[in-house]
Amino acid sequence: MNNAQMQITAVPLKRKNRRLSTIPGMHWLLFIIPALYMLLLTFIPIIKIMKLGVHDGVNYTFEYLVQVFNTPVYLKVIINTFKISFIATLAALLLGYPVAYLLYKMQSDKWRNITMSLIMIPFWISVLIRTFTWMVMLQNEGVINKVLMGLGLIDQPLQLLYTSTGNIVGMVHYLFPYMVLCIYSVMKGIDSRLLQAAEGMGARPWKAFRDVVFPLSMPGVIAGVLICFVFSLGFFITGVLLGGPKDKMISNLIANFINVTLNWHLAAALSIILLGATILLIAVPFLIFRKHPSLKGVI
Amino acid sequence: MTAHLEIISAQKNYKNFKAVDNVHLSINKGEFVTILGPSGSGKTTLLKLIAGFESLNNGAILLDGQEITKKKAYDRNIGMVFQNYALFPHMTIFDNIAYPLQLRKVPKQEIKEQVYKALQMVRLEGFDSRFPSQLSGGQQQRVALARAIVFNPPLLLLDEPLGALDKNLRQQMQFEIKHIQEKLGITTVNVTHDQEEALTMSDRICVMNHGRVEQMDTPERLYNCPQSKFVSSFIGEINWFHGEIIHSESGLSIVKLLNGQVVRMKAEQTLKENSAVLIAIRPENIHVVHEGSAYTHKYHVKVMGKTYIGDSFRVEAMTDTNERISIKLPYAATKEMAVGDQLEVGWNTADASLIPDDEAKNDAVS
Amino acid sequence: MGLRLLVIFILFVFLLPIILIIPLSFTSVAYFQIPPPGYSLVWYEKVLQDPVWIQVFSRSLFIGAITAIVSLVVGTMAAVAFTRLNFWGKNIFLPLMLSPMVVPTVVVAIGLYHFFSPFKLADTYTGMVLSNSVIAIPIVFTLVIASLKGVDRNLELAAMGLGSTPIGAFFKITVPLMKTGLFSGALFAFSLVFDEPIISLFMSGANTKTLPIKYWESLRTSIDPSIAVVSTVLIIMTVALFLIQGWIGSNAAKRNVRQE
Repeated sequence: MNNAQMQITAVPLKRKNRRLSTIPGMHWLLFIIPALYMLLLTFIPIIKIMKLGVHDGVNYTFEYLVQVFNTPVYLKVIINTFKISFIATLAALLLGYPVAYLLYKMQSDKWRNITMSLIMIPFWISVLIRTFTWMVMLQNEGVINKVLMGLGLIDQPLQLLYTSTGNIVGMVHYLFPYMVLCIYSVMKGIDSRLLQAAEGMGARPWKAFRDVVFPLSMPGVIAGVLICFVFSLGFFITGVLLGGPKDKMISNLIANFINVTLNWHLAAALSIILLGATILLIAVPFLIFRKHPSLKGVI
Repeated sequence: MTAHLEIISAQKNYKNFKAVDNVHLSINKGEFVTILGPSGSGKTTLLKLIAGFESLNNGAILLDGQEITKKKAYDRNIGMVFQNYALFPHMTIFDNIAYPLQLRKVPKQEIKEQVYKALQMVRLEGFDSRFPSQLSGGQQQRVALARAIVFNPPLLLLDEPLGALDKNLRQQMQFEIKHIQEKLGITTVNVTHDQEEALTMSDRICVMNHGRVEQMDTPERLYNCPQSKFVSSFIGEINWFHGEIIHSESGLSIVKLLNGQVVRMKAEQTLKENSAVLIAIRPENIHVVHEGSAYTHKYHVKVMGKTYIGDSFRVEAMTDTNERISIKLPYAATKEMAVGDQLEVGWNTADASLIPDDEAKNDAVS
Repeated sequence: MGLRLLVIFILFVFLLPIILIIPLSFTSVAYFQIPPPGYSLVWYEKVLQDPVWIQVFSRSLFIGAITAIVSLVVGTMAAVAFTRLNFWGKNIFLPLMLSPMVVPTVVVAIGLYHFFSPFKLADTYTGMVLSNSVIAIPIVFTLVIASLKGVDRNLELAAMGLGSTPIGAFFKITVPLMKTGLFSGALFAFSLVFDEPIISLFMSGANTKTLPIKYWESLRTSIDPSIAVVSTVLIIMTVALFLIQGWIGSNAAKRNVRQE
């Protein structure tokens, strides 16, 4: 016994990285480098651009923010952005919820994985390509109009491309996977025995769904709606390519100020509004729902 | 007396796996029956079949003389306590217990009365406005019980209800559940793998293994007269003496043991001549032979070791025919016993049970 | 059953446009008709002979690769720091690392555009890599955290107990086990350069035009079936990478199951 132990301890340890790892505090670089990177390339640039929105080079001023809200054209873009975002988010919710629920109810892992892949493939494909495919689908001679006319629902092609409808379709296509993932990730955590318990006590499937799964999936619904709404507010591509002249979003207006009218201050003022809305949307519900006891263990 | 719950040749397969294999069960009104078995024995599947969460491939289930085989779970009106309690986390304790009553469209005032009565029964008055996450495991367990009985179901199912509790709490809950069950007189089917729980709570125990019922009997009979090798070993400790039937006639069997001794005893089941059998004896029924003590059978054994087990000692010993046995002896009897000592032990046929050795062939191979 | 039909319909509507682009790329005419009146490879020839498409494609490959490396290094460092270290300001660290995910991309883009101008970084490869990595790092960070959580810390401690240094243990034990997260992260950062137009719209110029910018310009000015060709190539590339990633993931999962 003793001999064996002595032999083992006698094997020398070869440490290649010895010097690097023995410098005290080396591991703090793990935290410092990424923090500095993001501070320098996200935090400071955003602060600097925000400053342009409330600073005219000499003094702090609300002039630009006031100008944005006092110019009907700009105000209309802001209102429109919120309106379109709301509709697109709602549509994504109505389409995403049943899909998430089916994923939750599926017994077979194989089919769940296949369904998941079908949801995720569009998610991985560039938003530009997806927008282009909808340009083809929605055009007057496109598949949608052909199918509707073939079914005899319409006599002549509907104008779908370059309308708000087109824009919303493109947005929903983008938002849908996010919505499904948000809802499903919460649903997955709902013990299926809760459904069994409800049914055992006499609840029919629809009632059991309404009383158990639906309320318990609400955190996922709220998260999905918020994420999709926040994404919608920042949309850029679909409005230009699929939407009409009225479908300009805040992002497009900001780009316009930078590239065309070279008005950095107004672009910055709009950015403040956009970012402010985003932060409010994320922070407020979090603060409200965080403490609710029925959500303990759910979030 | 006709059975309250009757299961007739129930069969449930998952692909090629027979989870429940030709099970017959009949349970009387007000009876507390425990289905006991190791994991994978089909006990939980059987419970799900009764509850209606799984459907039978074959057979029938009757409750109160009515066939419920084809009924959906929500039409069966059966109360159930789930393993993890399955309390609705988004509802208060009151709403959880009121839920089955609301489904039955009971008037509001009456719901209130019933819920408070149920809360009182499980001794949780004053907890009605809390959420499940604010309760301890034992308290959640009681809420689950209250929710399962509040609508006066004819049948109560318990799916390993005490599995998640620590030992002290478990014993206390065993007592409380039994007390409530007796008070209500509700027919109860409990599923567990814990033999102690089964022995203390049940009127009758149904031992399952590999999807089949091995034996269904009162706790006492199950312990003292096991009818299969599995049952004898699953409940409590057991010693087996291997033997062979040399003659069998009208319930009386003559068995020749390995050491040449011949035992005459009654068998519960007919056993063929020349078949391998076991004589099963509990450790506490094997005694040290003193002068003047009379036993029908005596063995010379060699002590292999002794272990302190709290209230007594367990002595491991080896017979002349190389059969390992275990004997439970009081402290005084083992005080001077040392490993290697020779000992004479004896037992009585009245304390033994005769069971077929269905694994004899396997044993021979291994 | 009704639910299942509804879901099949929804998924069909969302997959159909993507699938229909593929036959369109083989059309013989200069407009988008489904089904195409005739099939040919003319548009493939046209794209392959167009020096601009070739240039932006190879440039995107290069910028994508560098972006993937930078994002992987920074994102992984942050993920390791977040899961393994306790430090002051950890509560601020998380939102800082994740902020580009929630801040509207256009705000990040003009912020960087403004910030880079004094350093003359706009329309440089460095500028492109830095700005794209800012969008990619939060994703790498979350993916690596997810896979680090699946790695038993005790394995590393066991390795150290056997005489390995912390860094050695990390590279020998933990890195192989979190391969899936690292691979997905790198893949995401790489494909970002092919996918994400907003950052590049502000940051790229004549010298650094990447594929999404050329694609965007074509959509706005000269829309013809060569776009369908480029789309088809990118769709096939994406699906292939998606499948490889899924395959690696499922292999890792299988291995973990076997270990248990």
